[in-house]
This record gives sequence, C-alpha cells and structure tokens, in this order.
Amino acid sequence: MIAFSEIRANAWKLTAIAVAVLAVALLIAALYFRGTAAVSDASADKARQERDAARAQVDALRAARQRDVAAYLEAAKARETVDTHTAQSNNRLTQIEVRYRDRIVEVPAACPAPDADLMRELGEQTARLSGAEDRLRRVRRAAEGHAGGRGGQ
Amino acid sequence: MPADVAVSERSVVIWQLHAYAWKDYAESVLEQRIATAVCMEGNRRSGAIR
Repeated sequence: MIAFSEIRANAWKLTAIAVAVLAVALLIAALYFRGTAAVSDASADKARQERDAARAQVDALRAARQRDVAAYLEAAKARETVDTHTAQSNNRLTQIEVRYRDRIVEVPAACPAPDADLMRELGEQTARLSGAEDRLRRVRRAAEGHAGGRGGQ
Repeated sequence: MPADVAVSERSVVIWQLHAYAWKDYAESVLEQRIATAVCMEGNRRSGAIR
C-alpha cells in the first residue's frame, strides 16, 4: 500500500519538474522576445533614418524650387529690360533713318561738313553710352562689394 | 550687327548713320551686359547662386 507521504513526495517532485520545465520555457520565450525586440529596434532606427533623409530631400527640393522661382523672376526681369531697350533702340534708329533719308545725297565735289543734327544725335548717343558704362561699373562694384562682404563673413 | 557700308560711299550722312548704328549696337550690348549683371546680382542676393 502506498503511503500518503509517498504520494505527497511524488506530487512535489512532479510539481518541481513541471515548474523547471516552465522556467526553461519562459527563459526561451524571453530570449526569443529579446531578439525580436532588438530587430524591431533596428527596424525602427532604420525607418527613422529613412524618414529624416526623406525630410531632408523634401527640404532641399523646396529650397531648390524657391531658388528656381527667384532665378526665373530675375531672368524675366532682365529679358524684359533688354526687350524694352531693344524696342526703344529700334524705334529711335527707324525715326532717325526716316528723318535723314532725304538728306542722303552724294557730295562728290568739296568735302562736306558732317550733318549738324546727326552730330547732335551722335553726341546724345555717346552720353547714353557713357551713362550705361557708368551703370555697369556701379552694378559690378555693388556685386563685388556684396561678394566681398559675404566672403568676409 | 550693323551692315557694312561700301567703301566707295560718298555720302557723309550714310557714314554718320553707320556710326550711329555701331553706337546703337554697342549700346544694346552694354544694356544686355547690365541686365545680365543685375540679374546675377539678384540671383546672388536671393541665394539662387553663390
């Protein structure tokens, strides 16, 4: 006949074995979850880096677009200035040619004096040219000053 | 660019107009350079170029 104490001892033994097996299983599960967590962390870091890179790309793109718009506006302004000047110049030249057409005659005999009115027009043009030269010089000086100021910073 | 005038041309006004055309050409080139310089300066100021 089996004694009650023996049954109790066996029960304890079985319980101990079960708890040990459970502990090992829990240990394995913990290790597995630890590994999974490390992989998840790495994935999260990678995703964060990719997000930062994408954000930087978007910022760079936005800045490039702004620069593009600014450059387009400046170029349009310059083109408009040149077009306006060309139109003025053509108009002036046409008017002058029309005005002086009837004066174009051959003077084969004595050396004729230059046309006084045309000389005046030429003088005005010379003044305009030197004015344009001065303007160009001023713009260059300003650009150089600006570049020097930026370089000094 | 202005068209050439025949060397045998005897009319003073033609030569004067030729001189005018060259000056006008020089003026237009200068104006273009000014417009370009102003454009570059504007781009530099806006940060589009360095």
